[in-house]
Amino acid sequence: MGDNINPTAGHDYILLETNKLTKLFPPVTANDGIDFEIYKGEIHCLLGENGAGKTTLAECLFGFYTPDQGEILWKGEKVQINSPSEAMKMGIGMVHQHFMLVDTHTVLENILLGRDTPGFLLDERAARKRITELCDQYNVNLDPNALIWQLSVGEQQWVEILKALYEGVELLILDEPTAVLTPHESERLFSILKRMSQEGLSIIFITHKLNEVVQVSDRVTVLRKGKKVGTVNTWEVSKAGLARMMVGRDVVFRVKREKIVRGEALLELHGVQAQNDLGFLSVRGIDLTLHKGEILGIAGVAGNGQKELFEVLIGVRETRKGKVVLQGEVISGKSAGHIRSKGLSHVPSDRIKEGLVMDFTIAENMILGYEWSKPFRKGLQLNNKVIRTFAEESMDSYEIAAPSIDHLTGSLSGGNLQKVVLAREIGSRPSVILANQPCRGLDVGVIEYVHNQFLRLRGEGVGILLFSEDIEEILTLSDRIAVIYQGEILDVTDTDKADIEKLGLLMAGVKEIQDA
Amino acid sequence: MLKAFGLEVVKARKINPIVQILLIIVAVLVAFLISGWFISLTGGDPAEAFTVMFKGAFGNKRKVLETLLRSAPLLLTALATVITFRAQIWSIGQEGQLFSGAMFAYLLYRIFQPVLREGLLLLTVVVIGGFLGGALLGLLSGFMKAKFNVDIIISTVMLNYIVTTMLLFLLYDHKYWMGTTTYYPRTDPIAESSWYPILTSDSRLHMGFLIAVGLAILIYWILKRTPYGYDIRALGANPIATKFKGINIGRLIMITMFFSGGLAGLAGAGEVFGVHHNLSMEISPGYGYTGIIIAMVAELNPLICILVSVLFGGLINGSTILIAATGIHSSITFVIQALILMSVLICRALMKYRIRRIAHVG
Amino acid sequence: MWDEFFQAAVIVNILAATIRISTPLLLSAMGELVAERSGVMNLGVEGMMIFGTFTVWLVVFNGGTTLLAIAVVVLVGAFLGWLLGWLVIYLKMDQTVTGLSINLLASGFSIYMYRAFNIAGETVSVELLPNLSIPYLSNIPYIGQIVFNQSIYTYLAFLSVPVIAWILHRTKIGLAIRSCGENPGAVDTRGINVYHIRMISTTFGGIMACLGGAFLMTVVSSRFLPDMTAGRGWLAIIIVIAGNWKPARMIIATLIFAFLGALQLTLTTFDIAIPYEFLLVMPYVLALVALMLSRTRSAAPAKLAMPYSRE
Repeated sequence: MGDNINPTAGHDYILLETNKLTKLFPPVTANDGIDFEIYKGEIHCLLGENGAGKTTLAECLFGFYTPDQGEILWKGEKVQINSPSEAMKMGIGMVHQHFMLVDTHTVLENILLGRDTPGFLLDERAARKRITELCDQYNVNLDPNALIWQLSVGEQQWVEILKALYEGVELLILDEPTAVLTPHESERLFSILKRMSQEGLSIIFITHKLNEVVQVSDRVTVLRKGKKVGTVNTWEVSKAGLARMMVGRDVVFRVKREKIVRGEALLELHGVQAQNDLGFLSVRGIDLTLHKGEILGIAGVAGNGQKELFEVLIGVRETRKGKVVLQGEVISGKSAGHIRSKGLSHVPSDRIKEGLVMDFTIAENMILGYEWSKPFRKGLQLNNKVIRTFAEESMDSYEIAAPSIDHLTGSLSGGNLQKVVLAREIGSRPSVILANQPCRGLDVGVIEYVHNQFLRLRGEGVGILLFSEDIEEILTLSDRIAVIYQGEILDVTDTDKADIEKLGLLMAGVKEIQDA
Repeated sequence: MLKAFGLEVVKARKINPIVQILLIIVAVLVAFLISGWFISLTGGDPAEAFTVMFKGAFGNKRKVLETLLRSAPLLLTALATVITFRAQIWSIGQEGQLFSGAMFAYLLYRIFQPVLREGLLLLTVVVIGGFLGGALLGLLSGFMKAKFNVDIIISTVMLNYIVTTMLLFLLYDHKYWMGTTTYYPRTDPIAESSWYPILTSDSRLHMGFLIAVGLAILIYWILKRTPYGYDIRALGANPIATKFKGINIGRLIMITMFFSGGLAGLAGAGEVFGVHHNLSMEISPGYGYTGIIIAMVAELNPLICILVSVLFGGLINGSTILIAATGIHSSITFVIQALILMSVLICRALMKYRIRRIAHVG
Repeated sequence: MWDEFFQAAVIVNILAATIRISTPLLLSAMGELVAERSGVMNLGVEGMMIFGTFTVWLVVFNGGTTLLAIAVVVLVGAFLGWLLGWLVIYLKMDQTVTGLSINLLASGFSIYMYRAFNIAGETVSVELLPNLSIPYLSNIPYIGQIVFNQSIYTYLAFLSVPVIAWILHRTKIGLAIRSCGENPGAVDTRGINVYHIRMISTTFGGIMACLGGAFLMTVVSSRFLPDMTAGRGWLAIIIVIAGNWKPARMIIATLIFAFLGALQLTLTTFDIAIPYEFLLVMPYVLALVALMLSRTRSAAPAKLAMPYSRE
């Protein structure tokens, strides 16, 4: 529970208010008649599932979108916010989930970009001074001359916040800020936010994580499918209550995972090392073993080497040292096609960029990577009959919602796209599946579906290596959990014996309790 | 600006194929209008010019066959462009590969003709030589991309200059290649027995045209129905996913550049052995670049390439008598060609968008 | 032969020629640099240079002075840059194809219009810009001849390098341009119109490319020849890549290519047994080799040649 007992007392006035705010993206109504208000100095959470309309509402307040109906009142006066720069001028700032930073430029240059100062020269000296002041005020250590790509994710986020503070905002909106932070960094963020609210800054904090709501907010507004379900004082409500408001039914917190006896070793990693695109060693000697009928979850915040490790295993990145053995055969250094033919399939983290060809039909995507294998190929030609049969069967068994297999993949929703990928990867009857953030951006219903598929495969003896940033997902699905931090595996435990707190610390790199 | 009216510009879905062809027709008309304006600027009469050109291209049977003759190398270079551009391999080396094929074919002719004298075997050697000459040059660019990450655009353009300059040198300075009429850069004529067979008795139309059409159909089939064609299309649509799914991109690029170069090389051999009957710098007034235009106008469809090649062949054929009949220089065809390309591209780009009320599927 | 060649006067000539030959390359390359830093790849540089040469001829043919011709060239370059920008930024046409189309149009257009206007066969001679000897400095032995006795066009071209570099790194618009090439989304959220910035950069690139071409007609040669640019536009693009998008390195790359060109011009006047064509070809071969061997990490703008839309 937060330590703000009576949030609205002592706060002068309502800073911002919306009345019946509606935003349409036909045929979807993203925001439906939302009444919302936030007081000066308040930390207010916007809670809801994926697609509830939280980000849309925020973007309306930030001027990125224009509401179709309803009004926005700022300090009691009706206003029209037509663009982000107008919002900034009014005093509203926003930190997005995907940072809007220029990686190859310095902190200073990023903050100076677009600043409305007289003349056409950049005033670096004044900017540097102000940045240092702000950092000192909030106890943050940051070099204005540092290049963005050299900073940690938490530091980059601080730069985004700095951008808003620099302009002197009165309302700061943060969209899922902890999605990319370690638990330790999240704690730091919370204390900074609390400090800000004490100094009179209002904060809207968008999240789907109940723990955070409870920890940091004064009040919380719950959105569901575009409508506001209600606004409550945080101290007056329980997590279960919030969950019920979010989803509309009692949430089943975990999918059922039965105990299975795991089989022999399937995939072994011995001292694997790899470099990332910038030439740094991001995978620093990993040993792992995946068994038949086992889901091994690799927990870790993005940027700790998962991407490179995944790419090594599927064959698109070279190892610098070490080897990978699949069912007795060395596969490190072999081509991706070869590895796939040996029974290792994968579900990539970015289905649109890495897993599918949007311009192709569904049927064509079903054989992506398998076009040279029989039975899809007959002699020199593609065997259309076999391909179509396979595609139609897959559409059926995976309940893919589309008019036909000849439809372009580009028109499908995220969940259906992922189903196409799954149909293809599972359809090749692999012995190992690598899944990289398989449920990112998917709805609860589809997530449940995907999880059940994985459990089914596990029951059939397939070994699954699950890379996920969602610790709930890891706990739900995995038999064993490995924590990856800065390119190394810190620990591997059985899930039943796992301690969530210890896992969180490990993900943040804290190996010994004394360091916590 | 549009926002004020509650309107916005949105991407449209796939375009109806009939509309596509209509679009090409409209674009061609626009191109003729603008070039007609250029002609009048310089004192000519556009209507007269275009009539002369049309008659010169399609006026009677012999002229039609001559048009087809002109379209053969164009079709081949267009096909060379199609298979690479479909994979988003931006090769503009068709011109250099054409010359390279011509040179290699001629070289093999000089080597084998004393031995083989004439006939089907020599002909085969020549055709293969044409293909290989272009193919190896294309492969070189592909190799530089696959192993050294040199942009294909840059390497093909550079190689174009290098190859054509080399040929210039050989024709001017090298005994083996120089003709006996010393000051004009071309080789001695090729023995008539080694010429490409003529298809009809009353024209110069040679077998190269049939080869080109046959290859167009073959390439259409390959792209649509074979795994290799699938790979090309996948690479063009999403190179990242293609890599992730295990397709060896470097190898795919090299193979495609090899075949592309070969097609252009065949065009070169055809011009040497079917039309000019010697090797010189004249054998291609930019056929390589025209092929690119044709492929783009035909939206990279091999079958439509056949039609557009005939159109452009007509343009070239029809313009040969222009200067005598009307005083207008034949280089107007280059202008018309470029304008057709630009107006087709612009029309196509405009068609991708529709104006409608502000609303989009988020 | 060779000993005649290695005379001081000859070497000075070659080096002076190097500086001179660098001019069109440098102008076009710097224009291309600005366009590419904002995220737009202009492959039509060659065509724009051709338009530049042709425009000079056209203006002079119709009775204009050389200076007037250069002024018109600026307008033409601005138009071409604007056109390319509009097609590629607003219509989001593919940048490769659009650039190539401009090249094809330029080539055909200039040949046709030249032949059409020049029916009488009269050869129009452009009055060349004189060289400007900088007092005192041009009297320095050797270096004076090489560096300080060039055309004002050349001085301005070399001056443009530090000026552009300064603008890119020290002004607000320069920061905006560089940011558009790396992360246009970030620029958009800061209230800057990405399209406008890119249009400005492309228009500037067009002006510079055409000026590069115009140089050939106002300082080097006074006769128009179709395709007299001979691939310089492509070399400009290579210079940007070889210089890793940094002006200082680009100057070095330019000087190397120009040196080879100067060498070729001079060697032919001596009876040295290197075929003329080999020398012609050297810059291109060198360019290819340089690209193959280049190992440093590319500083290419992250979003180069990718259209931006606020989705």
